[in-house]
Amino acid sequence: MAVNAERMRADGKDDRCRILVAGVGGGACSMLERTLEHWPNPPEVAAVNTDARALAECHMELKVMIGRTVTKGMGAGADAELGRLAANEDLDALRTLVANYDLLLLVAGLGGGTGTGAAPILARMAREEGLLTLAYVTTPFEFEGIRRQEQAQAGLTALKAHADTVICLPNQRLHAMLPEGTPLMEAFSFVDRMMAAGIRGLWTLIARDNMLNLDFSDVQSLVENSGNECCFGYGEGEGVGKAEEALQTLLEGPMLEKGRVIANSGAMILNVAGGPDLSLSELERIHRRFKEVARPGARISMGAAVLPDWEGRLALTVLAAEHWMPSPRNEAAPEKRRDTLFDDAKIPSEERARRSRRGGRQSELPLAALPSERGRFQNVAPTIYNGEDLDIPTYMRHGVRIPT
Amino acid sequence: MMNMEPIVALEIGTSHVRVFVGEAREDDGLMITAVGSSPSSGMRKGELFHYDSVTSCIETALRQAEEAADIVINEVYLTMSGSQIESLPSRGEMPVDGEIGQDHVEHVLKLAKEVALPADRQILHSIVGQYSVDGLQGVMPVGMVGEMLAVDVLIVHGIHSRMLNLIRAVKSLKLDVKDLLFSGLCSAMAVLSAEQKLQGALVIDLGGGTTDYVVYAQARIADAGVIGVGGDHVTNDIARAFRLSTQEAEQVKLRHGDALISAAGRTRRLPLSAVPGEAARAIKLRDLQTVIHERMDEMFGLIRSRLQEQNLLHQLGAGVVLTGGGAHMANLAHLAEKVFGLPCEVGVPRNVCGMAANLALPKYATGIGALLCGYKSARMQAEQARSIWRKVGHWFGVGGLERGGWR
Repeated sequence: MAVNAERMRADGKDDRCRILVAGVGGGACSMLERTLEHWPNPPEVAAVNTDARALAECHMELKVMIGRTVTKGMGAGADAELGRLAANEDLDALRTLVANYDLLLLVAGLGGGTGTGAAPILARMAREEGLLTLAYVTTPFEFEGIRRQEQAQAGLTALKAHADTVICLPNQRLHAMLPEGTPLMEAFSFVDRMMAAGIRGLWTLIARDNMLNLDFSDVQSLVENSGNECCFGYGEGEGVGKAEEALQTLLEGPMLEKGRVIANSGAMILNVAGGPDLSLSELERIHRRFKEVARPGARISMGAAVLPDWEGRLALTVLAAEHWMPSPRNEAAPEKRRDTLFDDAKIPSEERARRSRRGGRQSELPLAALPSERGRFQNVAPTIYNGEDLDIPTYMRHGVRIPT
Repeated sequence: MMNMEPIVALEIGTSHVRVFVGEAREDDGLMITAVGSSPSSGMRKGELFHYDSVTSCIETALRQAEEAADIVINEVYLTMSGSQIESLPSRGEMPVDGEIGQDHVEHVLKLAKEVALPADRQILHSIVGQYSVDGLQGVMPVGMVGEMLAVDVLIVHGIHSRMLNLIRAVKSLKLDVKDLLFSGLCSAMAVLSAEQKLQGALVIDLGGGTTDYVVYAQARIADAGVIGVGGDHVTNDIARAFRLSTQEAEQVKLRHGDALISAAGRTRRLPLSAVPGEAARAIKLRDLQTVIHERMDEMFGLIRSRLQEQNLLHQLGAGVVLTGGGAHMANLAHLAEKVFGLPCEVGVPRNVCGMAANLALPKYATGIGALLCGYKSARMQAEQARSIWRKVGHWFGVGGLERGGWR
């Protein structure tokens, strides 16, 4: 099934989903670079930074230097405002960077200068260019200080406004996974490893040739209705009982708050990666376990990928939307939205309009649209053909995304 | 040459109301002498929606035409569309003994028209396809001998009250409706050559509120219908996709509308006229193309599957002819070629002599076609005394068309 963002082009060829992974800021760039070393078929990766020297040492193919004037190539010095100004200085370069892709996986460590300040602006450019944007970010450990924490929170809010969804991995949450007395360097490298696993997991989710019914539109629909926030979980297992081990790491570990996130999520995407020995009963057990933990009516999409060199290994990747908010057009599911901190009242109305207009898939399209959906044909009898209301724009019914 | 009164056609469309005045020329051709036009309001999807708005639009167009032609218009040929209009094939059969006469033909036609329609429906046209005598198809039966006479007709029918409302709106302006005609048939009449009718062709009239289609296969009208999707839908799609007002969307559609997604569209941005107090906006041409492509691709697909069901697709030797205001859109013919897998062209009214060049546009097809229908009908009436083919003359190519009796 592969990457199924196939939009039929006029000439009949399919238009595969082109994905760009971009690291913003020093931390994210070096982490990406290290991740890539062990990657068999790496995606296209770009580094965006204010630090000329760090950028020069980085081996990625695509590099964008921002803020030459503002930072003189010396980095943003943990000042998010400087990072923001730097990005604003090179808007065109950022726009050009993303222009020819369909999906951006933006990676940033929040709390510092460049990552915090520039990431939201890259996300904005991506959105203006019509990309689906997933931001994958970390927030600092508590011991890094209140200033970095606050800065990271501000960056997160800004990012949520521009990216389609933000997947946040609070370092503090990872902290709980480390034994007492772990050396500092090891703690940071652990964060790096988790980030890397996450990126790989997401990449697998989006881009691998999956065997099971998971495709780009699943990701798209989850992301677009996620209330701009997703949680990510990753668990691995080896040998006999690898499925159980992975499940245990995932559901009892801190990344998904001991399974609380799964229990609260309205929708989730679950990907199982394994070797050629991956069995159907393992998939079944995993699916059953998730169904037990998740709340009734939650939407669970599951995919599986077989990697040739993964004999005896199994990894679970979960993307869960706690603030799942299906637009009425796409989802007939009667789920009630929970009261969350991400209340409708707090979302700017324009943002809400943007979201509700975005289409996902049309399989659950109700027979006739809501009155407000009908525009010019408000008071006219709908034109129904084969159960479809033709008054609703075709591109919406077909789930084709038109950026605004 | 016969001396005839000027003929007037009235088209009450969803986007425009148009009046065409034509006169017979010495060589029996038809010359358009005046046109009246008004933007339409009060119509949606080809149906009358707001009575008073519609009547005032008709009046505006009518006065214009009257002034230009310097005549007083008393009666019109009126066109009608709307997705309620449907067609169904029917067959009448009767035994005959010996020579077939005109009365036999009339009777067998009456039998063919006895179709069970829902109570609210009325026949708009019953179009004669072919007669057959003892299984020999496509004959002119009068004067032949045989045992069994049969006729195949296509019944075009619609909802009675919709017809009445349209006629009432016209009559309220002290006009008589000489005949009510399905607009799709009128368009086909205007744009098809005799050759195309013979070879088989699909005519798609892309109107503001509806899309009408007519199929000629084996030299007769084999299918006709309406899809309740038109240019208004395209405009609405654009307005929704880019958050524009209907007027803005209409402008964007007319200026930049394109039914194919092009490589150039990826980089080209279309600036929108700035709203005071807001930052200037631009949309990507490719996005606009995508929105339009999705809609038109679906529309053609609907017609295609209908034709496929009836096994008509392979009978279209002359391919597809697009007409109506929507046919002005760039690359629409190319898209239709892809969807139908047939050659496709944009058709303009052709069967009128001495017509000013600026009327040879797809958007005038229905009105001019109605004029042609009226002209043929009027000529036929004038010749009535001489003709034994009173009501079954050759209106639409080889077949004939009978009126629903709106006097």
